[in-house]
Amino acid sequence: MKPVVTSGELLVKMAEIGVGCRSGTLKTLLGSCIGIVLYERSLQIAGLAHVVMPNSAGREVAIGKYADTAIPETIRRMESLAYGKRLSLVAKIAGGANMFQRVTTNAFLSIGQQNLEAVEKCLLELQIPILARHVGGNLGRNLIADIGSGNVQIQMVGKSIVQI
Amino acid sequence: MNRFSDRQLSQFTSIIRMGATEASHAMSTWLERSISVEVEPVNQLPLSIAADQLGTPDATLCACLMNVTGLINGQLLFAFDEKSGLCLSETILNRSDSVQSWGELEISAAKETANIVGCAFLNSLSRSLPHLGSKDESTVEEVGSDCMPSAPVFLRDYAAAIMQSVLLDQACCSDSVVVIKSDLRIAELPLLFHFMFVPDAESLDKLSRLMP
Repeated sequence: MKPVVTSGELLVKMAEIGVGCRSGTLKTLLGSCIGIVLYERSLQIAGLAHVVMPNSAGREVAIGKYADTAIPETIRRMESLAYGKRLSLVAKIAGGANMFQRVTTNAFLSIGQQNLEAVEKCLLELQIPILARHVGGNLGRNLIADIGSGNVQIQMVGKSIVQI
Repeated sequence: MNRFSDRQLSQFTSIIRMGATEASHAMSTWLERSISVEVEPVNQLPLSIAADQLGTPDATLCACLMNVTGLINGQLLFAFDEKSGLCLSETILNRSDSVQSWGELEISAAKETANIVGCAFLNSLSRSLPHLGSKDESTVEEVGSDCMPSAPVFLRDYAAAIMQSVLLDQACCSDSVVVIKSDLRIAELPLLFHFMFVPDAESLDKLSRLMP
């Protein structure tokens, strides 16, 4: 399990989950995967899940890999930083690119879209509002979430930085 | 869960080494330069580690990707940093002036190189794989026809984002992935080219059945 960030930067890799409080940043690189940033503003607690696949189909290993298990696990880890206080969460999501769309012809063509739909469904069920989306297209994304403010910065190769 | 035993991985590495050597010879002939090749042992890696195989996750890389179908299916990736790629193009296009950005000609030169390197690798694989697990020609297992690459697609993106895309098929079926990687270097030039083959999940199952 990744350490809790309170300063500096934590890189969250494929199928991993990172959480932090007060200050510091959570960072991930996204291609077809989806990055979900969950944020609790009053307590300054942030979580970032790097989801690879939409559905765990009941599997209990690699919980950070699947949308339906990664989001609840991120919340659980954020709750452990809240000292029993109830979290009021909001979400920002990014990723889901189809980078090699002209060459990819197999059944996994739309995995980015499937991931996105699974993430949105899970967040809806948990009644967590999505404040911003930066999804789709055919370029990867460099996502940096600021734990102190909840701001999320997205950069794509050859493009200007975007705040969502 | 690991698909391959250490013995199978070692056998697989030998086959890949032959393919990578053939690929480096083809690149050497194409560029009229000496090329050195370093083949990494075939390994099964957790997703988070496999995604770093092209180096610093947020480094911008160029890549030519080809789908492979036939004997085994998967994806071939020929990846390099901007400087290496543009220098490669200058060499192929026989230019003396230094080019700073990617135009149609430079991209075409990179894709042609990927095609040559990829085809040489796949030709070697097509010769080696049907003999897996057999002691003589009469017991050669029938595994299909040759490996055929698609036309290469070129892109510039973050190293980790490129890797995610090629790992996706295996990631659907397993928490560890098999990545086959070689590094190619042009003699006397500080240039590095990564050459990677990522078989799909079904092909890995086929390979594990073929190797004793």
